[in-house]
Amino acid sequence: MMKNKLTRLFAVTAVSAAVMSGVSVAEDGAGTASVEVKNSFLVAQTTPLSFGQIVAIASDEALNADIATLTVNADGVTADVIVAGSSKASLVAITPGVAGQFTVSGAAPNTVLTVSAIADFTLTDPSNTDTKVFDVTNLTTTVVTSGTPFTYDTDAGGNLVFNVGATLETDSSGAVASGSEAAVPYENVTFTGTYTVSVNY
Amino acid sequence: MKNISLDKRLLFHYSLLLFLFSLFCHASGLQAATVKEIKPLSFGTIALKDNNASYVMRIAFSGQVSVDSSIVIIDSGHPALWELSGFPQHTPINITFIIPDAQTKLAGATDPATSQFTITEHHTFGPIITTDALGNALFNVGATLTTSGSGFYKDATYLNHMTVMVSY
Repeated sequence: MMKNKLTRLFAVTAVSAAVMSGVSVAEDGAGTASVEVKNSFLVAQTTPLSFGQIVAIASDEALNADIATLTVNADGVTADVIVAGSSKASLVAITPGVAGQFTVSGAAPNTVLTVSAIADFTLTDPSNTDTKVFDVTNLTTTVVTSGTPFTYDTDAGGNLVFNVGATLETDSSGAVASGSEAAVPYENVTFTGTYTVSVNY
Repeated sequence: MKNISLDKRLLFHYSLLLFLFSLFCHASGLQAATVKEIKPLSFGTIALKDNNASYVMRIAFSGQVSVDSSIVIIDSGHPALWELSGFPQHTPINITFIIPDAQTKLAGATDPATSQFTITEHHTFGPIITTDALGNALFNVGATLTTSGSGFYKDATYLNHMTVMVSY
């Protein structure tokens, strides 16, 4: 009797094994996929653009006023003072100017960046002691450090340093008729202005 | 006395059979099988020059990355690495990917103010993987990332889920 029961048990076990060996088994596993977007990077001014200390005289003529100019090159060399027109306006450098410098960080490594054209702006006296202005024009940029010379490539760390140069022009918005114009010196104050540098991939 | 001796012999045979069955189950892969993600699929860190069209980034299962020029790679990504264990030895395993979401989810929660990516074409080196002598297998998973082609992307981590289903 005992033997018969065990024999049946063997049979059931064997059938179970046979059935299980033919089972199609499926298993699942959960996972993720991700991407991080980091479009932004830091552009910081490390050196303000400065035209140095100057002696400045403007013409007060309303139209076609004499304009004196002084250029600070983006490579850091202060240009000679250039006087356009005749003799009413003038600029004389006392101390040299300095090119502006910007540092890009946190950008993609070894990647070309585009520095957009920088718009002209004016320098004014914040105290309004002098209402004359200086025009800042012809803003240029020059790469300082880069993974690739002469292009705006970031280095392996995603950094880029570039300079900004520009030309300073004396005020040309006087109100005196031609023939009666005079040379008008600027006040001894600091003139300031702001500009925006745009850097993109 | 005689019956007791017979029962002992039968019990011994049954125990032996159970042992053999256990071995059979092991050889057949009937022990607990696991499908485990060892390394998640990552497209790395990227910047987009623009989103004026749908741009594509592909990470092959081999790790090779191809990308449209409007996608800037900041940190490289990598394919996913999955591990199969506890499966029958030398057995072909069918791999199927189930993607629950057509688009990614931004940092776990959809942000309506930002565009979404689409992740498609999950693949490994073949739809069938063969386990080794221990019943294990490793395989990579690559996929394709596509931008929306309109709107903008906020700086964030974008996630998508996938389920790997294996059968044999």
